Amino acid sequence: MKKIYVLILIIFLTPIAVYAWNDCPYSLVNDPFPGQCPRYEDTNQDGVCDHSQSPSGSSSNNSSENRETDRNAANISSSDIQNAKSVPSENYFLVPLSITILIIYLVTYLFYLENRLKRDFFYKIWNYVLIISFLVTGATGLILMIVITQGITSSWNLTIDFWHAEFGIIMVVSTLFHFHLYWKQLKKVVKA
Amino acid sequence: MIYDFIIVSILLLLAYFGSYALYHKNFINKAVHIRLWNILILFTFLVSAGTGFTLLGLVEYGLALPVSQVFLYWHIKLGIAMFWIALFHIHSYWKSSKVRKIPDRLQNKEREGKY
Repeated sequence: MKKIYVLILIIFLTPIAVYAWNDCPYSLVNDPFPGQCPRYEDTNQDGVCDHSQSPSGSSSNNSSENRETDRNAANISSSDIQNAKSVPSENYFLVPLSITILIIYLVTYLFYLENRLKRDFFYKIWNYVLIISFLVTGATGLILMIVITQGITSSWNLTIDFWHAEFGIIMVVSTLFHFHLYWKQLKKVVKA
Repeated sequence: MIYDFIIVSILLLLAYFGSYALYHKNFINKAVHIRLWNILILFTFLVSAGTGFTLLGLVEYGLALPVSQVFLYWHIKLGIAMFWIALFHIHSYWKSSKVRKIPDRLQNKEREGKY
């Protein structure tokens, strides 16, 4: 039985180990310009995102150049590795933000159950939270898509990405509350 | 990867206006029109939000899986679809949410789970 567990663990961990050299969060390999996400970075100007390249891949690409270039390439690739290691892991506050919104929802729901909050007002609050979070998530998502497909690189890309994720979290959690509020209607939709 | 933003948008707009016209000219019930778009928003939400949340979790915990690339593609593709369908959803319910008032008697029953 233990063997099966170990095997499952190996199967699960293998892809992570295989892609360990690559710090692209989406596991992209040799992602060409303009890239698939706002993290696109090309320090060695080879038209491929540094995050999607293996250190050996970037040095082998430069091996056809002369010795001086090789030295530069070696410097670039080693600095790439350093950059890759020093890239801070993105913190999107997934768990704390979700729990905070859940607590706020439960408090307002409690107020509603205790007649301290009118039904219309309670529903309106969460509908507006959903609409606002949807509009911000949608707008930032569209901006990101345009920025990425057009290859526009700016310092704002990661900021937009961050807020897209934050408002996305709020939108998803408040959509689940929306399902709770309109559960009967939702059941009718799902039923044939 | 190509996300076909314009093609997806045009197709969805045409489909919505088509179904709205059918409902307006009494070829289909309002319930059918609403249900169709509710099912579509539910499906696009589940896929787009599910993949988005999975990607977010993976990025936050520093994990990169081979499926992440596929997830990113479908997150964006169905995210575009969900964006339009959510606007149609707001359009469908905008008036009814303003008009619908539930009497206090029924509100109390609803709180108790009887309504």
